[in-house]
Amino acid sequence: MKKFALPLFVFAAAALCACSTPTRYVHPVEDANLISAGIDAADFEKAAADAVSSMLRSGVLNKKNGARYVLAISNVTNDTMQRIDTDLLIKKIRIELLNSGKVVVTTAVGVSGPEDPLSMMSRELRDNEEFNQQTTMAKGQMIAPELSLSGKIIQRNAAVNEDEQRVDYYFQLTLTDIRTGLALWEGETVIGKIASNKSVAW
Amino acid sequence: MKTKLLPVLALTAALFLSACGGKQADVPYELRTDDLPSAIELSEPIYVTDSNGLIRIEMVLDNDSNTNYTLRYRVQWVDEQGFVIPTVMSRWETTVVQARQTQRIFSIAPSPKAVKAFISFSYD
Repeated sequence: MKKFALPLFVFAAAALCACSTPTRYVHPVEDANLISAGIDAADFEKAAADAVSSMLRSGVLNKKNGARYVLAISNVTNDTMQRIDTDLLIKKIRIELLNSGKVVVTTAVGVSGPEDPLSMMSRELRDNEEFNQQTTMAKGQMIAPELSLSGKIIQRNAAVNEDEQRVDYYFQLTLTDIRTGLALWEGETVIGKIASNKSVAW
Repeated sequence: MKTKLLPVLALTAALFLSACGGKQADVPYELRTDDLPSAIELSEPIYVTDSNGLIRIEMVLDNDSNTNYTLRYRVQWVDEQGFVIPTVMSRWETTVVQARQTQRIFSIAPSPKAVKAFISFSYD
């Protein structure tokens, strides 16, 4: 009987491996039908692409003499039922705006403190005798932001029929002139999905 | 008579051909429309470069049939050396051209380095 134990175990293991779904990479085009009810990478991409295209098209980022605006990232509220890091959206927008040559983003100023605190901490080395003072940062070098980007992601669920629900996501963004407090640009991308009532969008 | 006219005709033809060829070489776009359904007509794109050096392109899809068409398109931008400039704006987009209607497609270059757009269409 013991003779059969090992072959049986190997056979069972092989059978289990064959049944499980193999892990694979998602292809953005070929797997376009693999849509989840929640917010996925394609949704963030679309929202970012729409926002950047609209911002560049509006002309509000065209500074005189081809100079670049300094942008600070303000509050981006997640008002969905999902746990989302809003950087999944904002980082894409930042990359595109930087590449456009029209905007640079400051990491020294932020709503909850600087994104990169090292810029300010490095200033504390000014009177530290351990550091060559010619290599420390002189005063008045940092550039204050001129624009602020804020936004909100909203989720709305509605029953379509007994079996299906409609889930809408609103990606709302505002670009504010910090000097005047006026919104120079506003954009909204709406992504709607129909999903089974059994799907959980959170 | 024939000998007098021949050089004039040849010169005219050469000028005509070079004028056409020059226009194609200068435009900042290349269209790939093999997959477009025959009922859809694509206009020649219009383009302009804004004050910060970004090229804007717009074109019109004209549906000359009684059927709605769902098309996919993508605009990829390349730099002067021909290398593609990665951007989220170069994703495949879906657009519906309603029966007997037109649909406009717009794209803006992601960077001042972008000099040409490759515009592809797909229809299943």
